Amino acid sequence: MRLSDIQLRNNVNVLGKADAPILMLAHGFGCDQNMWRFILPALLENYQIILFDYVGSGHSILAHYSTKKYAKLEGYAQDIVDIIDAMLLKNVTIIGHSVSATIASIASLQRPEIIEKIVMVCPSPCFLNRPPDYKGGFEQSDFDELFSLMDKNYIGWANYLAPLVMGNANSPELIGELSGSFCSTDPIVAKTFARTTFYSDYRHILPSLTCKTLILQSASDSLAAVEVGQYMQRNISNSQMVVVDAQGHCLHMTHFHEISPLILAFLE
Amino acid sequence: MNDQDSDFQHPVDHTLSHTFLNEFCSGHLVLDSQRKIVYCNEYISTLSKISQEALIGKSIFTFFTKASNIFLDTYVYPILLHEKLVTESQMSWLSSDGEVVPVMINIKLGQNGMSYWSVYICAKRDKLHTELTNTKEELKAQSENLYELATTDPLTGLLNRRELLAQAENIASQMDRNASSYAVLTLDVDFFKKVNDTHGHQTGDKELIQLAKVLLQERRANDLVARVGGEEFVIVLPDIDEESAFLVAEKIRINVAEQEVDGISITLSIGGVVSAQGMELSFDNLLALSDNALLSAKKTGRNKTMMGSAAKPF
Repeated sequence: MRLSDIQLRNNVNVLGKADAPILMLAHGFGCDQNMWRFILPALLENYQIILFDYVGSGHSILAHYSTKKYAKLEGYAQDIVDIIDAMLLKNVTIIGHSVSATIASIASLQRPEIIEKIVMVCPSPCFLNRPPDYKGGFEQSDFDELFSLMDKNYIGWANYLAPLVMGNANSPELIGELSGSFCSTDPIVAKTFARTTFYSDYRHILPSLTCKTLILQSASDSLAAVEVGQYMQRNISNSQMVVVDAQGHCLHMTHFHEISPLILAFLE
Repeated sequence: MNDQDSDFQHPVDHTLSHTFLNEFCSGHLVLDSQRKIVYCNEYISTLSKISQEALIGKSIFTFFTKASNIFLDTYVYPILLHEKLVTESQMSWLSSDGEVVPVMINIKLGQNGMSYWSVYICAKRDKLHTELTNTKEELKAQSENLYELATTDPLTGLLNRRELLAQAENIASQMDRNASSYAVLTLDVDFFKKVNDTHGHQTGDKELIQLAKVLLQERRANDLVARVGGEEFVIVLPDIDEESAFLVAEKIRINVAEQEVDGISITLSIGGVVSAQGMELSFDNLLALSDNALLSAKKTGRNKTMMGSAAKPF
Protein backbone atom coordinates (compact mmCIF):
# COMPACT_ATOMS: atom_id res chain seq x y z
CA MET A 1 0.00 0.00 0.00
CA ARG A 2 1.05 3.55 -0.60
CA LEU A 3 2.09 5.95 2.14
CA SER A 4 -1.12 7.96 1.77
CA ASP A 5 -3.23 4.78 2.01
CA ILE A 6 -1.44 3.63 5.18
CA GLN A 7 -1.71 7.10 6.72
CA LEU A 8 -5.44 7.12 6.09
CA ARG A 9 -5.91 3.49 7.09
CA ASN A 10 -4.23 3.94 10.48
CA ASN A 11 -5.09 7.62 10.99
CA VAL A 12 -1.38 8.44 11.28
CA ASN A 13 -0.56 11.85 12.74
CA VAL A 14 2.93 13.30 13.00
CA LEU A 15 3.67 15.86 15.71
CA GLY A 16 6.65 17.36 17.49
CA LYS A 17 10.07 18.30 16.23
CA ALA A 18 10.96 17.49 12.62
CA ASP A 19 14.20 15.52 12.13
CA ALA A 20 14.28 14.65 15.83
CA PRO A 21 14.45 11.01 17.06
CA ILE A 22 11.23 9.15 16.37
CA LEU A 23 8.75 8.02 19.00
CA MET A 24 5.80 5.87 17.93
CA LEU A 25 3.01 5.78 20.48
CA ALA A 26 0.95 2.58 20.34
CA HIS A 27 -2.37 2.59 22.21
CA GLY A 28 -3.83 -0.40 24.06
CA PHE A 29 -7.11 -2.28 23.96
CA GLY A 30 -10.24 -0.15 24.09
CA CYS A 31 -8.31 3.04 23.36
CA ASP A 32 -7.08 5.14 20.49
CA GLN A 33 -4.29 7.68 19.99
CA ASN A 34 -6.28 10.22 21.96
CA MET A 35 -5.13 8.42 25.12
CA TRP A 36 -1.64 9.86 24.72
CA ARG A 37 -2.77 13.47 25.00
CA PHE A 38 -1.81 13.80 28.66
CA ILE A 39 1.81 12.74 28.22
CA LEU A 40 2.33 14.31 24.76
CA PRO A 41 3.44 17.78 25.91
CA ALA A 42 6.42 16.27 27.77
CA LEU A 43 7.58 14.47 24.62
CA LEU A 44 6.89 16.98 21.86
CA GLU A 45 9.83 19.27 22.44
CA ASN A 46 12.64 16.87 21.62
CA TYR A 47 11.03 14.12 19.60
CA GLN A 48 9.11 13.53 16.42
CA ILE A 49 5.93 11.77 17.50
CA ILE A 50 4.06 9.28 15.32
CA LEU A 51 0.51 8.73 16.53
CA PHE A 52 -1.76 6.14 14.97
CA ASP A 53 -4.86 4.03 15.55
CA TYR A 54 -4.83 0.30 14.93
CA VAL A 55 -7.24 -0.75 12.20
CA GLY A 56 -10.63 -1.02 13.90
CA SER A 57 -9.81 1.56 16.59
CA GLY A 58 -10.30 5.32 16.75
CA HIS A 59 -10.51 6.98 13.36
CA SER A 60 -8.85 4.19 11.36
CA ILE A 61 -10.59 3.01 8.20
CA LEU A 62 -12.84 0.16 9.32
CA ALA A 63 -13.09 -1.22 5.76
CA HIS A 64 -9.54 -2.55 6.18
CA TYR A 65 -10.54 -4.58 9.23
CA SER A 66 -10.34 -8.34 8.91
CA THR A 67 -11.47 -10.54 11.79
CA LYS A 68 -9.01 -13.19 10.62
CA LYS A 69 -5.99 -10.86 10.41
CA TYR A 70 -6.66 -9.15 13.73
CA ALA A 71 -7.46 -12.34 15.59
CA LYS A 72 -3.71 -12.51 16.26
CA LEU A 73 -1.43 -9.83 17.67
CA GLU A 74 0.74 -10.33 14.57
CA GLY A 75 -2.06 -8.60 12.63
CA TYR A 76 -1.72 -5.51 14.82
CA ALA A 77 2.10 -5.71 14.66
CA GLN A 78 1.76 -5.62 10.87
CA ASP A 79 0.03 -2.22 11.21
CA ILE A 80 3.15 -0.90 12.99
CA VAL A 81 5.49 -2.50 10.42
CA ASP A 82 3.40 -1.10 7.54
CA ILE A 83 3.64 2.43 8.99
CA ILE A 84 7.40 2.11 9.55
CA ASP A 85 7.94 0.79 6.02
CA ALA A 86 5.65 3.28 4.29
CA MET A 87 7.14 6.27 6.12
CA LEU A 88 10.70 4.90 5.76
CA LEU A 89 11.26 5.42 9.49
CA LYS A 90 14.65 4.69 11.07
CA ASN A 91 15.89 4.49 14.67
CA VAL A 92 12.43 4.11 16.10
CA THR A 93 11.39 3.93 19.75
CA ILE A 94 7.92 2.57 20.44
CA ILE A 95 5.99 3.39 23.60
CA GLY A 96 3.36 0.68 23.91
CA HIS A 97 0.58 0.57 26.46
CA SER A 98 -0.58 -2.77 27.84
CA VAL A 99 -1.07 -5.25 24.98
CA SER A 100 0.76 -2.85 22.67
CA ALA A 101 3.98 -3.59 24.54
CA THR A 102 3.62 -7.13 23.21
CA ILE A 103 2.55 -5.91 19.77
CA ALA A 104 5.62 -3.61 19.65
CA SER A 105 7.80 -6.59 20.66
CA ILE A 106 6.43 -8.67 17.77
CA ALA A 107 7.04 -5.75 15.39
CA SER A 108 10.60 -5.37 16.70
CA LEU A 109 11.33 -9.00 15.83
CA GLN A 110 10.23 -8.23 12.27
CA ARG A 111 12.21 -4.98 12.03
CA PRO A 112 15.06 -5.45 14.54
CA GLU A 113 17.33 -3.06 12.66
CA ILE A 114 14.78 -0.24 12.87
CA ILE A 115 13.02 -0.58 16.23
CA GLU A 116 15.78 0.25 18.71
CA LYS A 117 13.93 0.76 21.98
CA ILE A 118 10.60 -0.12 23.52
CA VAL A 119 8.96 1.54 26.51
CA MET A 120 6.35 -0.81 27.96
CA VAL A 121 3.60 0.85 30.01
CA CYS A 122 1.78 -1.71 32.22
CA PRO A 123 2.64 -4.64 29.93
CA SER A 124 1.65 -8.27 30.20
CA PRO A 125 2.77 -10.97 27.74
CA CYS A 126 0.00 -13.26 29.03
CA PHE A 127 -2.98 -12.31 31.18
CA LEU A 128 -3.81 -15.93 32.00
CA ASN A 129 -2.38 -17.98 34.86
CA ARG A 130 -0.10 -20.70 33.52
CA PRO A 131 0.67 -22.94 36.48
CA PRO A 132 2.98 -23.77 38.06
CA ASP A 133 5.35 -20.93 37.21
CA TYR A 134 3.40 -18.03 35.80
CA LYS A 135 0.61 -15.96 37.28
CA GLY A 136 -0.92 -13.68 34.68
CA GLY A 137 -3.70 -12.90 37.14
CA PHE A 138 -6.73 -14.49 35.50
CA GLU A 139 -8.28 -17.85 34.80
CA GLN A 140 -9.80 -18.63 31.43
CA SER A 141 -13.21 -18.64 33.12
CA ASP A 142 -12.73 -15.01 34.28
CA PHE A 143 -12.36 -13.85 30.69
CA ASP A 144 -15.12 -16.16 29.43
CA GLU A 145 -17.40 -14.36 31.85
CA LEU A 146 -16.07 -10.94 30.87
CA PHE A 147 -16.88 -11.60 27.21
CA SER A 148 -20.27 -12.91 28.19
CA LEU A 149 -20.89 -9.66 30.11
CA MET A 150 -19.81 -7.68 27.05
CA ASP A 151 -22.43 -9.59 25.06
CA LYS A 152 -25.09 -9.09 27.68
CA ASN A 153 -24.49 -5.36 27.94
CA TYR A 154 -24.08 -5.11 24.19
CA ILE A 155 -26.16 -2.02 23.49
CA GLY A 156 -24.57 0.23 26.06
CA TRP A 157 -21.16 -1.27 25.65
CA ALA A 158 -21.18 -0.71 21.89
CA ASN A 159 -21.60 3.00 22.47
CA TYR A 160 -18.92 3.48 25.09
CA LEU A 161 -15.78 1.69 26.00
CA ALA A 162 -13.57 3.33 28.56
CA PRO A 163 -9.87 2.54 28.56
CA LEU A 164 -8.90 -0.10 31.08
CA VAL A 165 -7.77 2.67 33.30
CA MET A 166 -9.36 2.99 36.66
CA GLY A 167 -7.55 2.13 39.82
CA ASN A 168 -10.03 2.09 42.67
CA ALA A 169 -8.03 4.58 44.67
CA ASN A 170 -7.81 7.18 41.91
CA SER A 171 -9.77 10.27 42.85
CA PRO A 172 -13.31 10.68 41.49
CA GLU A 173 -12.22 13.98 39.91
CA LEU A 174 -9.46 12.26 37.99
CA ILE A 175 -11.69 9.38 37.00
CA GLY A 176 -14.37 11.88 35.96
CA GLU A 177 -11.89 13.65 33.69
CA LEU A 178 -10.57 10.42 32.23
CA SER A 179 -14.09 9.20 31.74
CA GLY A 180 -14.35 11.80 29.01
CA SER A 181 -11.88 9.59 27.16
CA PHE A 182 -14.48 7.11 26.05
CA CYS A 183 -13.86 5.48 22.74
CA SER A 184 -16.85 4.75 20.65
CA THR A 185 -15.93 1.32 19.45
CA ASP A 186 -17.31 -1.11 16.94
CA PRO A 187 -18.40 -3.99 19.20
CA ILE A 188 -17.23 -6.76 16.86
CA VAL A 189 -13.81 -5.19 16.58
CA ALA A 190 -13.61 -4.53 20.32
CA LYS A 191 -14.60 -8.07 21.15
CA THR A 192 -12.06 -9.56 18.74
CA PHE A 193 -9.36 -7.24 20.11
CA ALA A 194 -10.33 -8.20 23.66
CA ARG A 195 -10.16 -11.91 22.88
CA THR A 196 -6.82 -11.49 21.11
CA THR A 197 -5.49 -9.46 24.02
CA PHE A 198 -6.67 -11.55 26.93
CA TYR A 199 -6.35 -15.09 25.60
CA SER A 200 -2.93 -14.79 23.96
CA ASP A 201 0.36 -15.95 25.37
CA TYR A 202 3.49 -14.36 23.93
CA ARG A 203 5.90 -15.17 26.76
CA HIS A 204 7.96 -17.24 24.33
CA ILE A 205 9.10 -14.19 22.31
CA LEU A 206 10.58 -12.32 25.28
CA PRO A 207 14.02 -14.02 25.20
CA SER A 208 14.35 -13.16 21.48
CA LEU A 209 13.99 -9.41 22.06
CA THR A 210 17.23 -7.56 21.51
CA CYS A 211 16.16 -3.93 21.72
CA LYS A 212 16.65 -1.87 24.86
CA THR A 213 13.49 -2.07 26.93
CA LEU A 214 12.02 -0.05 29.79
CA ILE A 215 9.20 -1.71 31.73
CA LEU A 216 6.94 0.64 33.71
CA GLN A 217 4.63 -1.22 36.04
CA SER A 218 1.99 0.13 38.38
CA ALA A 219 2.30 -0.88 42.06
CA SER A 220 -1.35 -1.89 42.04
CA ASP A 221 -2.86 -2.88 38.72
CA SER A 222 -5.66 -5.44 38.57
CA LEU A 223 -4.69 -6.38 34.99
CA ALA A 224 -0.89 -6.50 35.14
CA ALA A 225 0.71 -7.21 38.49
CA VAL A 226 4.24 -6.22 39.49
CA GLU A 227 5.21 -9.91 39.33
CA VAL A 228 4.28 -9.93 35.62
CA GLY A 229 6.69 -7.03 35.06
CA GLN A 230 9.40 -8.85 37.02
CA TYR A 231 8.85 -11.95 34.89
CA MET A 232 9.29 -9.84 31.76
CA GLN A 233 12.45 -8.21 33.07
CA ARG A 234 13.95 -11.60 33.84
CA ASN A 235 13.19 -12.82 30.32
CA ILE A 236 14.12 -9.76 28.24
CA SER A 237 17.89 -9.51 28.22
CA ASN A 238 18.38 -5.79 27.71
CA SER A 239 15.64 -4.54 30.02
CA GLN A 240 15.12 -2.43 33.12
CA MET A 241 12.00 -2.06 35.22
CA VAL A 242 10.54 0.69 37.35
CA VAL A 243 7.54 0.17 39.64
CA VAL A 244 5.52 3.37 39.86
CA ASP A 245 3.71 3.98 43.14
CA ALA A 246 0.27 4.14 41.57
CA GLN A 247 -3.01 2.35 41.10
CA GLY A 248 -4.54 1.46 37.78
CA HIS A 249 -3.57 0.25 34.35
CA CYS A 250 -3.02 3.51 32.46
CA LEU A 251 0.00 5.25 33.95
CA HIS A 252 0.34 7.40 30.82
CA MET A 253 -3.02 8.94 31.67
CA THR A 254 -3.17 8.92 35.45
CA HIS A 255 0.51 9.37 36.33
CA PHE A 256 2.06 11.04 33.30
CA HIS A 257 3.93 13.54 35.52
CA GLU A 258 5.70 10.63 37.22
CA ILE A 259 6.50 8.51 34.17
CA SER A 260 7.52 11.14 31.60
CA PRO A 261 10.88 11.89 33.32
CA LEU A 262 11.54 8.14 33.50
CA ILE A 263 10.84 7.78 29.78
CA LEU A 264 12.95 10.81 28.84
CA ALA A 265 15.89 9.57 30.95
CA PHE A 266 15.65 6.14 29.29
CA LEU A 267 15.60 7.67 25.81
CA GLU A 268 18.74 9.76 26.32
CA MET B 1 -56.21 20.93 45.00
CA ASN B 2 -57.35 22.89 48.06
CA ASP B 3 -55.20 24.65 50.61
CA GLN B 4 -55.58 21.89 53.13
CA ASP B 5 -54.06 19.32 50.72
CA SER B 6 -51.04 21.44 49.74
CA ASP B 7 -50.15 22.18 53.35
CA PHE B 8 -50.40 18.58 54.42
CA GLN B 9 -47.11 17.11 55.58
CA HIS B 10 -46.70 13.32 55.64
CA PRO B 11 -45.21 12.09 58.86
CA VAL B 12 -41.77 10.52 58.30
CA ASP B 13 -41.33 7.27 60.10
CA HIS B 14 -37.83 5.92 59.41
CA THR B 15 -38.55 2.57 61.01
CA LEU B 16 -41.66 2.19 58.88
CA SER B 17 -39.76 3.20 55.69
CA HIS B 18 -37.08 0.68 56.47
CA THR B 19 -39.71 -2.01 57.02
CA PHE B 20 -41.35 -1.12 53.70
CA LEU B 21 -38.02 -1.20 51.85
CA ASN B 22 -37.35 -4.67 53.25
CA GLU B 23 -40.57 -5.89 51.63
CA PHE B 24 -39.50 -5.00 48.08
CA CYS B 25 -38.64 -7.77 45.60
CA SER B 26 -35.60 -5.80 44.51
CA GLY B 27 -32.36 -4.84 46.18
CA HIS B 28 -31.63 -1.29 47.27
CA LEU B 29 -28.15 -0.16 48.14
CA VAL B 30 -26.58 3.16 49.04
CA LEU B 31 -22.81 3.48 48.65
CA ASP B 32 -20.48 6.27 49.79
CA SER B 33 -17.83 7.82 47.55
CA GLN B 34 -15.39 5.05 48.54
CA ARG B 35 -17.93 2.57 47.15
CA LYS B 36 -18.66 1.16 50.58
CA ILE B 37 -22.16 0.15 51.64
CA VAL B 38 -23.91 2.63 53.94
CA TYR B 39 -27.40 1.17 53.53
CA CYS B 40 -28.98 -1.95 52.08
CA ASN B 41 -32.35 -3.63 52.32
CA GLU B 42 -33.24 -7.24 53.13
CA TYR B 43 -33.11 -8.35 49.46
CA ILE B 44 -29.37 -7.52 49.32
CA SER B 45 -28.79 -9.36 52.56
CA THR B 46 -30.54 -12.48 51.22
CA LEU B 47 -28.64 -12.20 47.94
CA SER B 48 -25.29 -11.86 49.72
CA LYS B 49 -26.09 -14.35 52.50
CA ILE B 50 -24.83 -11.83 55.06
CA SER B 51 -26.89 -9.89 57.62
CA GLN B 52 -27.81 -6.31 56.83
CA GLU B 53 -25.74 -5.03 59.76
CA ALA B 54 -22.64 -6.97 58.65
CA LEU B 55 -22.92 -5.56 55.13
CA ILE B 56 -22.50 -1.97 56.26
CA GLY B 57 -19.00 -0.69 55.49
CA LYS B 58 -18.14 -3.45 53.03
CA SER B 59 -16.78 -2.55 49.56
CA ILE B 60 -19.18 -3.22 46.69
CA PHE B 61 -16.31 -4.91 44.83
CA THR B 62 -16.50 -7.76 47.36
CA PHE B 63 -19.87 -8.74 45.92
CA PHE B 64 -18.97 -9.07 42.27
CA THR B 65 -16.93 -11.66 40.39
CA LYS B 66 -13.50 -10.77 39.01
CA ALA B 67 -14.89 -10.27 35.50
CA SER B 68 -17.70 -8.09 36.85
CA ASN B 69 -15.17 -5.97 38.70
CA ILE B 70 -13.24 -5.36 35.49
CA PHE B 71 -16.57 -4.40 33.96
CA LEU B 72 -17.36 -2.12 36.91
CA ASP B 73 -13.97 -0.42 36.61
CA THR B 74 -13.92 0.06 32.88
CA TYR B 75 -17.55 0.50 31.97
CA VAL B 76 -20.05 0.98 34.78
CA TYR B 77 -18.18 3.52 36.96
CA PRO B 78 -16.86 5.61 34.08
CA ILE B 79 -20.40 5.85 32.68
CA LEU B 80 -21.80 6.67 36.12
CA LEU B 81 -19.28 9.46 36.72
CA HIS B 82 -19.83 10.83 33.25
CA GLU B 83 -23.59 10.47 32.84
CA LYS B 84 -24.59 10.35 36.55
CA LEU B 85 -26.80 7.40 35.64
CA VAL B 86 -26.29 3.78 34.61
CA THR B 87 -29.26 1.70 33.50
CA GLU B 88 -29.78 -1.98 32.75
CA SER B 89 -26.26 -3.20 33.31
CA GLN B 90 -25.96 -6.91 33.86
CA MET B 91 -23.32 -8.20 36.28
CA SER B 92 -22.58 -11.33 38.30
CA TRP B 93 -23.27 -11.04 42.04
CA LEU B 94 -21.03 -13.11 44.29
CA SER B 95 -22.59 -14.25 47.55
CA SER B 96 -20.52 -14.95 50.66
CA ASP B 97 -20.59 -18.70 50.00
CA GLY B 98 -19.31 -18.31 46.43
CA GLU B 99 -22.63 -18.66 44.62
CA VAL B 100 -22.79 -16.50 41.45
CA VAL B 101 -26.14 -14.99 40.44
CA PRO B 102 -26.85 -12.79 37.40
CA VAL B 103 -28.22 -9.39 38.45
CA MET B 104 -29.47 -6.33 36.62
CA ILE B 105 -28.49 -2.98 38.10
CA ASN B 106 -29.53 0.64 37.76
CA ILE B 107 -27.37 3.23 39.52
CA LYS B 108 -27.85 6.93 40.13
CA LEU B 109 -25.01 9.17 41.25
CA GLY B 110 -26.04 11.57 44.03
CA GLN B 111 -24.35 14.33 46.03
CA ASN B 112 -20.84 13.90 47.48
CA GLY B 113 -20.14 10.78 45.45
CA MET B 114 -22.98 8.82 47.05
CA SER B 115 -24.54 6.30 44.67
CA TYR B 116 -27.97 4.67 44.78
CA TRP B 117 -28.26 1.16 43.43
CA SER B 118 -31.28 -0.90 42.41
CA VAL B 119 -30.46 -4.57 41.98
CA TYR B 120 -32.59 -7.53 40.98
CA ILE B 121 -31.90 -11.13 40.01
CA CYS B 122 -32.29 -11.74 36.27
CA ALA B 123 -31.66 -15.49 35.99
CA LYS B 124 -34.48 -16.11 33.50
CA ARG B 125 -33.50 -13.18 31.30
CA ASP B 126 -29.89 -14.36 31.47
CA LYS B 127 -30.87 -17.87 30.37
CA LEU B 128 -32.83 -16.47 27.44
CA HIS B 129 -29.91 -14.22 26.55
CA THR B 130 -27.46 -17.10 26.63
CA GLU B 131 -29.72 -19.10 24.30
CA LEU B 132 -30.00 -16.14 21.92
CA THR B 133 -26.24 -15.58 21.96
CA ASN B 134 -25.58 -19.25 21.22
CA THR B 135 -28.06 -19.16 18.35
CA LYS B 136 -26.44 -16.00 17.01
CA GLU B 137 -23.00 -17.65 17.13
CA GLU B 138 -24.31 -20.73 15.30
CA LEU B 139 -25.89 -18.59 12.59
CA LYS B 140 -22.70 -16.57 12.26
CA ALA B 141 -20.63 -19.73 11.81
CA GLN B 142 -23.12 -20.99 9.21
CA SER B 143 -23.05 -17.66 7.42
CA GLU B 144 -19.22 -17.65 7.31
CA ASN B 145 -19.30 -21.18 6.01
CA LEU B 146 -21.77 -20.22 3.27
CA TYR B 147 -19.71 -17.16 2.38
CA GLU B 148 -16.66 -19.34 1.95
CA LEU B 149 -18.60 -21.79 -0.19
CA ALA B 150 -19.92 -18.94 -2.33
CA THR B 151 -16.56 -17.23 -2.85
CA THR B 152 -13.95 -19.95 -3.10
CA ASP B 153 -13.11 -22.84 -5.37
CA PRO B 154 -13.62 -26.03 -3.33
CA LEU B 155 -10.71 -27.96 -4.87
CA THR B 156 -7.94 -25.37 -4.45
CA GLY B 157 -9.34 -22.93 -1.88
CA LEU B 158 -8.56 -20.05 -4.27
CA LEU B 159 -11.13 -17.37 -5.10
CA ASN B 160 -13.76 -18.41 -7.62
CA ARG B 161 -14.62 -16.41 -10.73
CA ARG B 162 -17.51 -14.51 -9.15
CA GLU B 163 -15.46 -13.34 -6.17
CA LEU B 164 -12.51 -12.49 -8.41
CA LEU B 165 -14.72 -10.21 -10.52
CA ALA B 166 -16.13 -8.50 -7.43
CA GLN B 167 -12.76 -7.90 -5.76
CA ALA B 168 -10.96 -7.02 -8.98
CA GLU B 169 -13.45 -4.23 -9.71
CA ASN B 170 -12.52 -2.71 -6.33
CA ILE B 171 -8.83 -2.91 -7.15
CA ALA B 172 -9.48 -1.37 -10.57
CA SER B 173 -11.28 1.60 -8.99
CA GLN B 174 -8.63 2.02 -6.33
CA MET B 175 -5.81 1.98 -8.91
CA ASP B 176 -7.72 4.52 -10.97
CA ARG B 177 -8.08 6.82 -7.95
CA ASN B 178 -4.41 6.48 -7.06
CA ALA B 179 -3.28 6.93 -10.69
CA SER B 180 -1.50 3.58 -10.38
CA SER B 181 -1.56 0.53 -12.62
CA TYR B 182 -2.38 -3.13 -12.03
CA ALA B 183 -1.71 -6.33 -13.91
CA VAL B 184 -3.97 -9.21 -14.90
CA LEU B 185 -2.25 -12.54 -15.55
CA THR B 186 -4.16 -15.45 -17.08
CA LEU B 187 -2.54 -18.86 -16.60
CA ASP B 188 -3.47 -22.11 -18.30
CA VAL B 189 -1.98 -25.59 -17.75
CA ASP B 190 -0.52 -26.95 -20.98
CA PHE B 191 -1.99 -30.24 -22.23
CA PHE B 192 -4.00 -30.70 -19.06
CA LYS B 193 -6.55 -32.90 -20.81
CA LYS B 194 -3.70 -35.32 -21.55
CA VAL B 195 -2.77 -35.48 -17.84
CA ASN B 196 -6.36 -36.33 -16.97
CA ASP B 197 -6.75 -38.84 -19.80
CA THR B 198 -3.43 -40.59 -19.14
CA HIS B 199 -3.18 -40.52 -15.33
CA GLY B 200 -6.78 -40.04 -14.24
CA HIS B 201 -8.70 -37.12 -12.75
CA GLN B 202 -7.35 -37.69 -9.26
CA THR B 203 -3.81 -37.03 -10.48
CA GLY B 204 -5.11 -34.03 -12.41
CA ASP B 205 -6.69 -32.66 -9.24
CA LYS B 206 -3.44 -33.15 -7.34
CA GLU B 207 -1.60 -31.17 -10.01
CA LEU B 208 -4.12 -28.32 -9.70
CA ILE B 209 -3.85 -28.29 -5.90
CA GLN B 210 -0.06 -28.16 -6.09
CA LEU B 211 -0.24 -25.39 -8.68
CA ALA B 212 -2.56 -23.41 -6.39
CA LYS B 213 -0.01 -23.77 -3.57
CA VAL B 214 2.74 -22.33 -5.77
CA LEU B 215 0.51 -19.41 -6.79
CA LEU B 216 -0.31 -18.64 -3.15
CA GLN B 217 3.36 -18.82 -2.18
CA GLU B 218 4.35 -16.38 -4.91
CA ARG B 219 1.61 -13.86 -4.32
CA ARG B 220 2.06 -10.54 -2.52
CA ALA B 221 -0.28 -9.58 0.33
CA ASN B 222 -2.83 -7.71 -1.81
CA ASP B 223 -2.74 -9.87 -4.95
CA LEU B 224 -5.87 -11.81 -5.94
CA VAL B 225 -5.47 -15.42 -7.00
CA ALA B 226 -8.43 -17.25 -8.53
CA ARG B 227 -9.31 -20.45 -10.32
CA VAL B 228 -11.71 -19.38 -13.04
CA GLY B 229 -12.13 -22.60 -15.02
CA GLY B 230 -10.96 -26.24 -15.15
CA GLU B 231 -7.25 -25.56 -15.55
CA GLU B 232 -7.38 -21.78 -15.92
CA PHE B 233 -6.23 -19.36 -13.25
CA VAL B 234 -6.15 -15.57 -12.96
CA ILE B 235 -3.90 -13.39 -10.81
CA VAL B 236 -4.55 -9.67 -10.27
CA LEU B 237 -1.55 -7.67 -9.07
CA PRO B 238 -2.15 -4.10 -7.86
CA ASP B 239 0.53 -1.36 -8.01
CA ILE B 240 2.81 -2.98 -10.58
CA ASP B 241 4.36 -2.08 -13.93
CA GLU B 242 4.62 -4.29 -17.03
CA GLU B 243 8.24 -5.32 -16.50
CA SER B 244 7.62 -6.44 -12.91
CA ALA B 245 4.41 -8.24 -13.88
CA PHE B 246 6.31 -10.14 -16.57
CA LEU B 247 8.99 -11.13 -14.02
CA VAL B 248 6.33 -12.38 -11.58
CA ALA B 249 4.71 -14.43 -14.36
CA GLU B 250 8.04 -15.92 -15.43
CA LYS B 251 8.97 -16.78 -11.85
CA ILE B 252 5.68 -18.66 -11.47
CA ARG B 253 6.07 -20.41 -14.83
CA ILE B 254 9.63 -21.57 -14.10
CA ASN B 255 8.76 -22.58 -10.52
CA VAL B 256 5.80 -24.70 -11.69
CA ALA B 257 7.82 -26.38 -14.46
CA GLU B 258 10.42 -27.46 -11.88
CA GLN B 259 7.88 -29.20 -9.62
CA GLU B 260 6.75 -32.80 -9.84
CA VAL B 261 3.64 -34.42 -8.41
CA ASP B 262 3.59 -38.23 -8.56
CA GLY B 263 6.43 -38.06 -11.08
CA ILE B 264 4.55 -35.78 -13.44
CA SER B 265 5.47 -32.17 -14.12
CA ILE B 266 3.29 -29.63 -15.83
CA THR B 267 3.96 -26.40 -17.67
CA LEU B 268 2.02 -23.17 -17.91
CA SER B 269 1.22 -20.73 -20.66
CA ILE B 270 0.67 -17.25 -19.30
CA GLY B 271 -0.86 -14.17 -20.83
CA GLY B 272 -0.66 -10.82 -19.12
CA VAL B 273 -1.64 -7.20 -19.46
CA VAL B 274 -1.08 -4.08 -17.37
CA SER B 275 -3.67 -1.31 -17.12
CA ALA B 276 -2.76 1.96 -18.78
CA GLN B 277 -3.69 5.44 -17.57
CA GLY B 278 -6.31 7.23 -19.60
CA MET B 279 -7.53 4.15 -21.46
CA GLU B 280 -10.58 3.71 -19.22
CA LEU B 281 -10.62 -0.04 -19.69
CA SER B 282 -12.70 -2.06 -17.26
CA PHE B 283 -11.38 -5.15 -15.51
CA ASP B 284 -13.43 -7.24 -17.96
CA ASN B 285 -11.64 -5.55 -20.86
CA LEU B 286 -8.23 -6.26 -19.31
CA LEU B 287 -9.21 -9.87 -18.63
CA ALA B 288 -10.14 -10.27 -22.32
CA LEU B 289 -6.81 -8.71 -23.38
CA SER B 290 -4.96 -11.01 -20.99
CA ASP B 291 -6.85 -13.99 -22.45
CA ASN B 292 -5.77 -12.90 -25.93
CA ALA B 293 -2.15 -12.78 -24.78
CA LEU B 294 -2.56 -16.28 -23.32
CA LEU B 295 -3.94 -17.51 -26.62
CA SER B 296 -0.91 -16.05 -28.35
CA ALA B 297 1.41 -17.86 -25.89
CA LYS B 298 -0.41 -21.11 -26.63
CA LYS B 299 -0.19 -20.60 -30.38
CA THR B 300 3.51 -19.83 -30.34
CA GLY B 301 4.73 -22.93 -28.52
CA ARG B 302 3.29 -22.97 -24.95
CA ASN B 303 5.31 -22.91 -21.68
CA LYS B 304 5.91 -19.17 -22.08
CA THR B 305 4.66 -15.76 -20.97
CA MET B 306 3.32 -13.20 -23.43
CA MET B 307 2.35 -9.69 -22.42
CA GLY B 308 -0.39 -7.84 -24.28
CA SER B 309 -0.89 -4.09 -24.29
CA ALA B 310 -3.75 -2.11 -22.84
CA ALA B 311 -2.60 0.99 -24.67
CA LYS B 312 -2.77 -0.72 -28.05
CA PRO B 313 -5.22 -3.59 -27.79
CA PHE B 314 -3.66 -6.92 -28.64
